[in-house]
Amino acid sequence: MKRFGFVFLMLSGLFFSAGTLVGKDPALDSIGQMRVKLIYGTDGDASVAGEIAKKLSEEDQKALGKIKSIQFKSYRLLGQDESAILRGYENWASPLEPSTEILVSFQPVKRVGKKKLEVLLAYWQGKRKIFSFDPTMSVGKTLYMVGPKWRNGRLILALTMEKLEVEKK
Amino acid sequence: MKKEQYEELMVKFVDGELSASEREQFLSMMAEDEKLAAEVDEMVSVSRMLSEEIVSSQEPPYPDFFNSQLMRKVDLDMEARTPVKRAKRWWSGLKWAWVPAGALALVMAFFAGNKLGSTNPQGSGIAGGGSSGRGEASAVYFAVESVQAEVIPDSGGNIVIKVEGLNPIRDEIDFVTVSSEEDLPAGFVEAKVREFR
Repeated sequence: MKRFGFVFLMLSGLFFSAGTLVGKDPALDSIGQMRVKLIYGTDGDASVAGEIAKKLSEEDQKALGKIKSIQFKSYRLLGQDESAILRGYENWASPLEPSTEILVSFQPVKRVGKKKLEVLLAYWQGKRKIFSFDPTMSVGKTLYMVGPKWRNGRLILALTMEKLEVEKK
Repeated sequence: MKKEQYEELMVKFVDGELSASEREQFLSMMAEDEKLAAEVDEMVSVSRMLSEEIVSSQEPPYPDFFNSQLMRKVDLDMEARTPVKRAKRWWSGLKWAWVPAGALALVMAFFAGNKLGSTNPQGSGIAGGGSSGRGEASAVYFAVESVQAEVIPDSGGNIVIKVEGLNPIRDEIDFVTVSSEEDLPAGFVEAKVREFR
């Protein structure tokens, strides 16, 4: 009887371990995609941004032109990063990769309808968190954050939620 | 004839167990020996007296009760001699259920492990549906006191947030030079580690 109990205990442990290994973390599910662009906007000479700066796409240029509260004469793309939105983790974007001078972290809070997602965004500069913000983002829409001054212009973060998966029932 | 043989013959004579020839022989011995004859007479009279006083076989009173008591005594005696039997436990009748119960316990152990394995260290994830009720542009929380922000919802569905009071990024920073990774935010490092898994 004692031997049977011992064997049963061992088997239970094995099954428990197997379950632990097989169990997939649902927090790792990707529920969407976030693109983060770092744009340099200036009313002066945009070439001071250096070699890292690229021409901004027509589409982005046009979209920025429609924003009344952001009006610069010239824009340049300094870098961009695309990151999956993991359901239960803090996600990160480093648009200046490999530089980590400016980072953005975002974590889903809750869905609002089928095409909106409340996220907790945080802006990091010089490896320090400067502020956090919890907007409700819409698929295809962009959140512009006019940030720090640099070389006679401003750095603008443009976060676009490009995709939001339909929630599995 | 030896004395033992005399005595044996005498007892058999009194009990009437001698054969005809033995009896005849014993009677002739008694006729020759007066002492033996007197001794036999005395034995016969004692024997007769005893048989008159004591009934040879008598039925016990209440024979059924007597027999049942006797059998009970015998049973108790037999039980006392046999090895002690283990008391039956209540679950001994449920032996058939052990296999399915064991299998169920193993399956439950598996799912318990599965559940534990899928536990998210940062929370169980997001809740679905519902509205925040605070509009699409929510509060800004500052980690640096000097910073201020203005949230400007755009008519096109975009959101603009203007942040003032940030330390300007030094002009000599070109964003090309890779900075040291010693002081990177822990969450960022964890995310990178997660990517490589």
